[in-house]
Amino acid sequence: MKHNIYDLFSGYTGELPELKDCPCDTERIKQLVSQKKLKRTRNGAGVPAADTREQGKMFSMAAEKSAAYHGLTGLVEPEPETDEIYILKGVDSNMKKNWRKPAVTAAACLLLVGGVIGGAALLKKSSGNSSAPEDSYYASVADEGEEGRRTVTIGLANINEASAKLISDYNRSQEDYWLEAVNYSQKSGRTLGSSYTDSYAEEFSLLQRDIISGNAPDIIAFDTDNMFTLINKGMFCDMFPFMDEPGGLERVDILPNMLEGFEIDGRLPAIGTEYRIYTAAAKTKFVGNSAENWTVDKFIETAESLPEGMHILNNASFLSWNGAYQDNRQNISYYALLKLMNDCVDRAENTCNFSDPSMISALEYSMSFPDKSNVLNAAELSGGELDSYSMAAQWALLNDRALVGGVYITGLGSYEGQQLWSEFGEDDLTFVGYPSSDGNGAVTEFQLLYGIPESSSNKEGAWDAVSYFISEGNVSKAVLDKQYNTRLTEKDSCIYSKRISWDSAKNTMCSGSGRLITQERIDQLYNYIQTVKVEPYSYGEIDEIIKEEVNYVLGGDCTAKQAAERIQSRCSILLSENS
Amino acid sequence: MISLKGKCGRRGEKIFSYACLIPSIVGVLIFFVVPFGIVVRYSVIKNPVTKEYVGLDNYKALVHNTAFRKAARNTAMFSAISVPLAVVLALGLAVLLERKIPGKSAFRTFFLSPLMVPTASVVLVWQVLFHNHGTVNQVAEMFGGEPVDWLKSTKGQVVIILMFLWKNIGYNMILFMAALSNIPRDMMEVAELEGAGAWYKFFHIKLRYLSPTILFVFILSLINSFKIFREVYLLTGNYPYDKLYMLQHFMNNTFNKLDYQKLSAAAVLFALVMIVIMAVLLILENIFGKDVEN
Repeated sequence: MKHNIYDLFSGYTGELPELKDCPCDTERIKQLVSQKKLKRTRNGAGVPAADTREQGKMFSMAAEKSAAYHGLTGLVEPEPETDEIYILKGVDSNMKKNWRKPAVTAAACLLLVGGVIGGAALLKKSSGNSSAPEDSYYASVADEGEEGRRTVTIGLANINEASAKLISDYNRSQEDYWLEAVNYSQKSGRTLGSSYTDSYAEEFSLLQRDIISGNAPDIIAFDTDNMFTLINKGMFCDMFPFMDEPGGLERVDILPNMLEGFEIDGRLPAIGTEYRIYTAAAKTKFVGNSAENWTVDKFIETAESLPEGMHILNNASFLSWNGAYQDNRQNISYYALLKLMNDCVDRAENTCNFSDPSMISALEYSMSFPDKSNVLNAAELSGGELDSYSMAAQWALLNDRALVGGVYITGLGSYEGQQLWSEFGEDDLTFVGYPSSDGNGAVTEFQLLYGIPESSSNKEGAWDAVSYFISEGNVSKAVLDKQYNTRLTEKDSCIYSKRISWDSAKNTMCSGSGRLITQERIDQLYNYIQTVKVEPYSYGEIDEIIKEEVNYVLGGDCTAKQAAERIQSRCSILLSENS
Repeated sequence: MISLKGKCGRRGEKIFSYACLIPSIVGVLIFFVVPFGIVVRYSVIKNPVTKEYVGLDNYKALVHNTAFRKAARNTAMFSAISVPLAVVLALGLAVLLERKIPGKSAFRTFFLSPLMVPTASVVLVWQVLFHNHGTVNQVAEMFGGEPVDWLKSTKGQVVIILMFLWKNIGYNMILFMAALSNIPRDMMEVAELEGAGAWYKFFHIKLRYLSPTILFVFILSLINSFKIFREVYLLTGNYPYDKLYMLQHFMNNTFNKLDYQKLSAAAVLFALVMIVIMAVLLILENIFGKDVEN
């Protein structure tokens, strides 16, 4: 087994220790040094010479000259004759690269807070530089952990904390393979944020070059748009045969709707491990039981029969989109078109039908609302007004002042329960979703898809890593069932008037008061997650074209019919290019 | 003995000339033949990863591809209209400016000025002119006409033909003016003495002497017509309205999508078509201009 840095801190309790006060187990360190498991830093790239080699007392941390650092200085006498050279590398170095720049550019302290895990250590950047956000990075310890393992490479557009942790965890979980990341954002010289919201055009271009030159990684993990491009080129092998082999991850281990969504012509070229479901819900008393995944016509019919003074959209959940507090043509069109845009595209045939009457009627209905510039806007409100309107908007669904609220689901976690409770209270709710024509009103998003290129010389190793990611992700049936069963157990122990109390502070569902979720709602969520139709593949460019043309309609520059015709013209070209 | 020396000399000359040719041959091989060979190879494999040989499948897929057919049709239509117009109008202007008319040099400068303006600025001006609320529509509305969304309707090609002519006529005109000044004066004087009319002189003398230039201008305009993609792209992006979608859009988008096989097949097919067109033009020029050149 690899050594965990927690071993070095006998008193580690989960809080970030100041290293100077850190209760290090010096004997343990000495033991590791003698076993050559910990090695001394050397003067090399990114390592300050004077502070390491001359003092010769650092064992764990090193950064480049401009960075302050903390090591285990003074704890162990140097043993220059026996100590081997040791460098702690940066986040992507888990993957044998140099320090990730943000970790070292600021004169911030690097504190060792956890985990030499499978050859990786977690570093926490302290608030030494107030302008830099606190951030955690994983770093590798020399090449420890790689010995005797077969290397599997994974190409990522960007490595954030979550992906670095996943890689480290995988490397720690087994001893056959060593997963090594190829960070394309680093290759492109870009410093990207930790989120996956950036455009990865440059990174994808570099990946393409690697593919062409025969240096494709064993696993490619990119965003859906770029992965779809590669899938269309038939670059990935089918993962179903791996699943059908006994002993490993099987098809039944993955939520069936998720698996079905990724299947293309009976093959599984790529898969995402962490879904996000975007949908919408309304109180059943307003929409009836038959409104789940409603159509545009049903939406318009219901919206037109609302009582006086009741909004259609809960503007708290749709506020971030355009900053306006009342129903307006922008947020109505956004809500009405989000799913329809996808429904009009037949990805199998690479055709589209944006002249669909429901698309035109959704646009025309949106135009019956005022422009967002003519309604109450968050930016125009004073502090007090903003507070009162924010409160009103926040409780609009609960107080029957709005019909539909946006819902965001990633599992049966505390967030989902809190979200639904705070918006809908105890009333029965129906997942109306975004208006659709195929009875599926949810939009599913995956930040990363994993695929194994046909060219990989280590497909078994690649599948081993991908199957580990799947089993850890929320697409895993076991993960969802575990969440469900946990909720049930919690319910049993703290049931109160058929309700389960939710303590947000403790993040449990059974103690405290204020947040309530019923067993029926847990069941409803559990079933909904498993019945959502998953459509992971999308063409980002189609969305852009539609937004552009819809803006012309909303601005009064053309009619809904003209816009539909233009969208059809432009998108059909885009799709036919792929045929 | 003498003949042997002569033979040796000729062989030496031959070896020397081949040696001199080597750098050029290597250059042509490296920069033209080998890349073209790679493109041809790419056009017959499934993808760069598996490199599986698929014969003419990529070509078959390409000719059945709706986007490619649309792009080819639009480009052919655009070139068929704009290239002859660019040649004829430039020739007409050159003939006009050959005469002694007032403000001749000002006109010449005026027609050449589009060449000096950067494309991005040109596109900006054309956007202002042909936008939905642009100058052209404002003028049309002033006179009771209906506004037209020029760049997002079937009338889009009119805009790019106008833009192409505006940009290229000046340069073509200068080439024709140079060619007109090279027509032998004595020939024209003889024709005048023989009582030939202006039309006769133009069609039977000038045009015959101009035929190599016409061919050159035609080829140049044809090549430039494929470059209109740049302006269309800046005006309307990767995916313009149907009628503005050109072959270069197809190529560019296919490249961005990593579809090198389709791209290579399209490039090879395009090269073949261009070779045929050039061959036809050269044959025509050979037929009509040979006697004049001799």
